[in-house]
Amino acid sequence: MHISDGILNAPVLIGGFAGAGVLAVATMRNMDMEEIPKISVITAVFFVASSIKIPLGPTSVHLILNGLAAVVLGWRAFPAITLGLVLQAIILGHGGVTVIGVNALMMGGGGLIAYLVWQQRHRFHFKKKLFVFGALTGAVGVASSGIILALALATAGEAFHAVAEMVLLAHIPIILIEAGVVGACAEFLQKVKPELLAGQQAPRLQTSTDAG
Amino acid sequence: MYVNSFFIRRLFQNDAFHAFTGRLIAVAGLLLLFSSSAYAHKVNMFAFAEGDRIFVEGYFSDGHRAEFSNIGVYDHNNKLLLHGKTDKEGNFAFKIPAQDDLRITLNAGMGHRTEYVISKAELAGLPAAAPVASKDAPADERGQQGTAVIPAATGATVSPVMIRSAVGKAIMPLMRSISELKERSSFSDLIGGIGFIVGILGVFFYVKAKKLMVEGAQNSSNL
Repeated sequence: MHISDGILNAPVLIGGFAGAGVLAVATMRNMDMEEIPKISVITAVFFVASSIKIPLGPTSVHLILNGLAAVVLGWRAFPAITLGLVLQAIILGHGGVTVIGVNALMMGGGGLIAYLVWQQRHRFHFKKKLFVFGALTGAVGVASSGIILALALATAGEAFHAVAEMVLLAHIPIILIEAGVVGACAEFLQKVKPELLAGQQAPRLQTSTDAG
Repeated sequence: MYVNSFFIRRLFQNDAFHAFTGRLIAVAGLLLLFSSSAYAHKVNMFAFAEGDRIFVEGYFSDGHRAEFSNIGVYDHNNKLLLHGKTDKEGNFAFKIPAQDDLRITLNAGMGHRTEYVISKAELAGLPAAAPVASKDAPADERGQQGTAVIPAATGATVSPVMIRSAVGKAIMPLMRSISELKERSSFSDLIGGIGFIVGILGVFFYVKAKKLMVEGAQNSSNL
């Protein structure tokens, strides 16, 4: 899903860096020291994930895992993914260097949208809640990144609907795999170490009845 | 005062956290070992000149061809000389439009794009077609060999053009391999990237820990 150099025009690229910069600063505020090992592991997983090809019939896919970042890191998923993208572009040549800002908005932004979905789990109480919401988060992460990709390509003159349709169709296997992976991870972490999951306290608007 | 250092020590002694991290790293490592080569998923291309034509091959790093992708050929002034589309094998061929540094672009859609430059030197000695009046070059069949124009009258003499053609054909698999090798990302690249991540975040960690220690010292001196 990484966009290469030479496709988008300069205003979009500059806007991408500006937007990504603002979001990165906003999501890094008041970072706790204990979050840093988590961020480090997730960034490494994200970085490596794009190099692992999972064979699927005649072709192969690689995972994006911004949903996993959302589930474990919450808002910090954005700087983690941005750092991963910078290193992927520079070291692996995966995705253009000028497009890092736009790619960050795409995959990091998708991760933030996925986090909003993840936080909705506080409204519900049923047995497999963590798996279901983890799966939804994983799927929404990939899907919203796909839509932002189509938006970015639309600025370069491609038809938004056609590209969005093509991207989402092409990524259906990834959406399904990531839903499974993130759902399983979320469930596992809740059992083993719930503190590792992000947003364990419901957003303030919903804790009207809680003491916290 | 001691609460902070206790907390820091506890962070590193927590078994479940270590188990999680260990498992994550183990899985990632195993996946890396089992994938025979860690390719980045992007589009690449290889182009070579033969006879009076240039052949372009587009492919993704995992092997499948870049079918129906847009091709553009530009001269050194960035003027578009011709454009076309690869066939379903990811191949495209066109007559050499000019004796110039040719920049060939391939756009496979969904944000995948790559470029390849054929230098003027590679084209030296090969017959160039007259500038094409219409901008559309037909996609030639891959099987058609571009034959160099060799006057029959030369008989037994070996012309430079024949030598170029023969050598070009012989080193073509080599050039293709080199092109693929250049695009491949190695295991050491991945380790290097992880090292960067640990290092950068380690600096963050150190800065925060220092701040915490300074605050702790200040608090104890204020007591």
